Amino acid sequence: MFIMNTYTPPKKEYKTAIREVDLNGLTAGGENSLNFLHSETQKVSKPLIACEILTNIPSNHPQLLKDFWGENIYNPIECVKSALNKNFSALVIRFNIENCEDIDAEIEKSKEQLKEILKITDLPLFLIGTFRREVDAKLLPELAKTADRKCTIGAVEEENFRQIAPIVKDCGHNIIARTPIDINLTKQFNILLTELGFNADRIIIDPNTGGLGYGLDYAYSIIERIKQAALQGDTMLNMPVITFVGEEAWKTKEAKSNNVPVEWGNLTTRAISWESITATSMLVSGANIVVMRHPEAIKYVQDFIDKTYG
Amino acid sequence: MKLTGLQIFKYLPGSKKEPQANCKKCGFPTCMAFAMKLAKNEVPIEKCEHITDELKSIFEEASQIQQAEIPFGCAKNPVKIGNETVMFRHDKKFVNPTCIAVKLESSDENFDEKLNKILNYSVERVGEDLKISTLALFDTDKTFEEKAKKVAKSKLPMILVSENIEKTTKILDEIKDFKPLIYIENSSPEELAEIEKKYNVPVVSSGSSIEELVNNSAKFIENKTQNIVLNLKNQSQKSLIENLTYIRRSAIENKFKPLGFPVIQFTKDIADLSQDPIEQGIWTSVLLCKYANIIVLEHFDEAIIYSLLTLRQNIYTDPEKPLQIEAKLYPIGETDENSPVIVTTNFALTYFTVVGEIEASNIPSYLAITPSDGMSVLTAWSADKFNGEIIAKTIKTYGLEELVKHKKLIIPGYVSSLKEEIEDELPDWEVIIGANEAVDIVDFLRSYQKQQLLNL
Ligand code: B12
Ligand code: SF4
Repeated sequence: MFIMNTYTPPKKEYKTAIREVDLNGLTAGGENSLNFLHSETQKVSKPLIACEILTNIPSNHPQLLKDFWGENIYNPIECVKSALNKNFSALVIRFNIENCEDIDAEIEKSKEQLKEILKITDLPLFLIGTFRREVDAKLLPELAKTADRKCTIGAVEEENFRQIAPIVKDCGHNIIARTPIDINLTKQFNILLTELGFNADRIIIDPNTGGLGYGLDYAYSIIERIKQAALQGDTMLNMPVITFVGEEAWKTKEAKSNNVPVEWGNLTTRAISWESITATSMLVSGANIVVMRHPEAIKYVQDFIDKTYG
Repeated sequence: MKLTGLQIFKYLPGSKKEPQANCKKCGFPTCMAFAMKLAKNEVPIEKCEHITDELKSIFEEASQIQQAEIPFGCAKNPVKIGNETVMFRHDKKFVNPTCIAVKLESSDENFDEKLNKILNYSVERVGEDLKISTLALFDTDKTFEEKAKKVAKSKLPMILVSENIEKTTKILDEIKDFKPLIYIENSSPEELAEIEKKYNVPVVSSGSSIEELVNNSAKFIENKTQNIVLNLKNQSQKSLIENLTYIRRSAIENKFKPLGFPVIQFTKDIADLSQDPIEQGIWTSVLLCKYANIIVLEHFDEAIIYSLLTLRQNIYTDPEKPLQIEAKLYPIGETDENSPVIVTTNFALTYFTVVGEIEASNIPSYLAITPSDGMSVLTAWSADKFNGEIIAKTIKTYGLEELVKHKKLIIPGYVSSLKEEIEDELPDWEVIIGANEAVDIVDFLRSYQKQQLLNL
């Protein structure tokens, strides 16, 4: 029997690269291959982890996160200070305003917090709102005006971007465009943003995600589809992808509760791996930036990225 | 990828309205019926006299197996690996879930205890029993034989890892109807092919590069053995994902026969990977997504295994069909007229998550499930499949107005905005806004129930 046995590596050549977004000190994107396939890309672009800090700690916030940060967790400025010696590449400040009675006062407070934070760190910053559309429509433009250097601001959605995006654009920041797990909506939204005059090289896609075991599979596949389309030449889908894995992972029972079957194992190991694995599966599906919450988990995933990217 | 009936039909006389259309010579009433049978491989292609050469070659090309399916373990109930047909799960559901295996050395001091732990591990998630698929038994002392027999008796699928051909074949002589996967280090393809043929067991073909695997495969195929599993040794973290992707791509997209077999990856073969369970878990999660069919973990850690089994469930579900449960009233525990009424959607994940928490609270409750096309709470709400009207109708058709006397209804916290809408539709009822996340349901229900009892 004749056997064909000469092997040639089945390399792909994609003409279109993922857009490079300048995060102010770091770049996201730029590769023209799927993640981790180093010999196919002309430019190797290491995925990034951003550590997320909240300005308000809800009452049901996971104990493990509270334990790690200690009292600092209740004070975002202190939290940022203590984050500075932890080798993070970037920080996400989540202005999750809780008291909605007096939004204006909360926004004022957020602006003051932001001014302080800008003074104490020069890490690339992502300034994130509440994900409540009306609140963000007021809050995000104010943050954009307050930030005196280039930041990445979001997320904007189809329902509120008209109030936010023009100001983010004028202030020279990048924007995070969020759509609900649907590649067509993602593309359509990017087109809308560019029609508004937003430079496509300053857009980052947030396709939305679920945590491990809670809808992660849908995000996984949408990201894979976005990347396939992007590399094959769709210039309204070839922006870097960001996913907020920390938020999703830490709202699960798996990351929070000790009151579980013994088969679920040790809480700390489980919670850290829950967040880490939510992150790694997003990275293999194609995410460029993962936003995480527990510094231990960040360390593990950063180590993985460092070793796989050499 | 296989052709569908419709794709085949396009090449038959019936679709082109040619004179022979539906001539019935194949034994089927129409060309369409024949096409459907052919797509399922239930009839040989030669049955139709009017097949064109074009269809014949397209069909042969399409039905060529991309990746072999290899079963091993107990003859009656083997675990199967391989037979994948796509690179991405959005193209088509992945076929055989990754086999998560745990290593155990024959010399392990706590062998029996560890074996039992692995055997008994079982965890329910979204209505599915998740278990450890396989044990990798390493030959580290003279009790290897005895331990192998013990595992075979337990019926847990097993990988035998040894350097010793005699020891291994002696075991195979004794466990006749149990077919382990055989890994003999430093042995030639010819020797392994011999074993495969004599015992009808799959064997691992290993190499340090893809080229080496290809050369080995050629030798196996020459020796008429295709019951093999590929293994890459000594892998750097930097190149492993790419190598596994290339093996899978060669098989799936290029139908490159020498690599058309499933792959086994040992975490111990990954350079600079520590024994830390989380670090091992992270790499395993990546291997699970990117193209290993069997992964052998160094240690058994419940938390890591549970995370990985969850990920596997996610990656191997059918992306086309969300798991649904029947929309009806589920009484949880010994319900009575004072039991709380809770409403949520019929997405299996949502249902099982919520039921677990209600059970944990020990408060018997009625769980009313709405017909919401298998969507999660917020997804269904956005798609207008979980609204005031649907919820009100659910409460009425399930007869809850007679079953309980309190007329209070608890809804998921994320849809608090539905309160008014529901109360408009159900004027006698009061809508109570529950917790956002299931993890907070126990506390919520307990304090709610306490409050209700005080009011009685
Ligand atoms: C996976 C997903 C999908 C999947 C569908 C999955 C499914 N079968 O439902 C797909 C991709 C198909 C999808 C589609 C859409 N989606 Co969607 N999706 C998600 C995602 C990522 C996860 C949802 C999930 O599976 N959660 C897990 C389950 C278990 O959660 P759950 O049902 O809410 O249950 C939890 C709690 O609610 C609580 N709970 C449940 N019941 C009860 C009951 C009581 C009494 C209590 C106390 C608690 C409780 O317990 C559970 C665990 O904590 C979320 C974002 C996110 N991270 O949440 C968006 C999200 C839900 N989707 C959204 C949208 C808008 C859509 C679309 C309308 C988009 C579009 N225009 O096409 C479509 C609608 C579908 C359609 N028209 O066909 C939005 C909803 C926006 C909003 N807040 O109003 C979200 C929030 C994303 C976003 N941020 O924009 N989606
Ligand atoms: S023999 Fe061929 S042409 Fe005739 S009915 Fe069957 S499929 Fe159609």
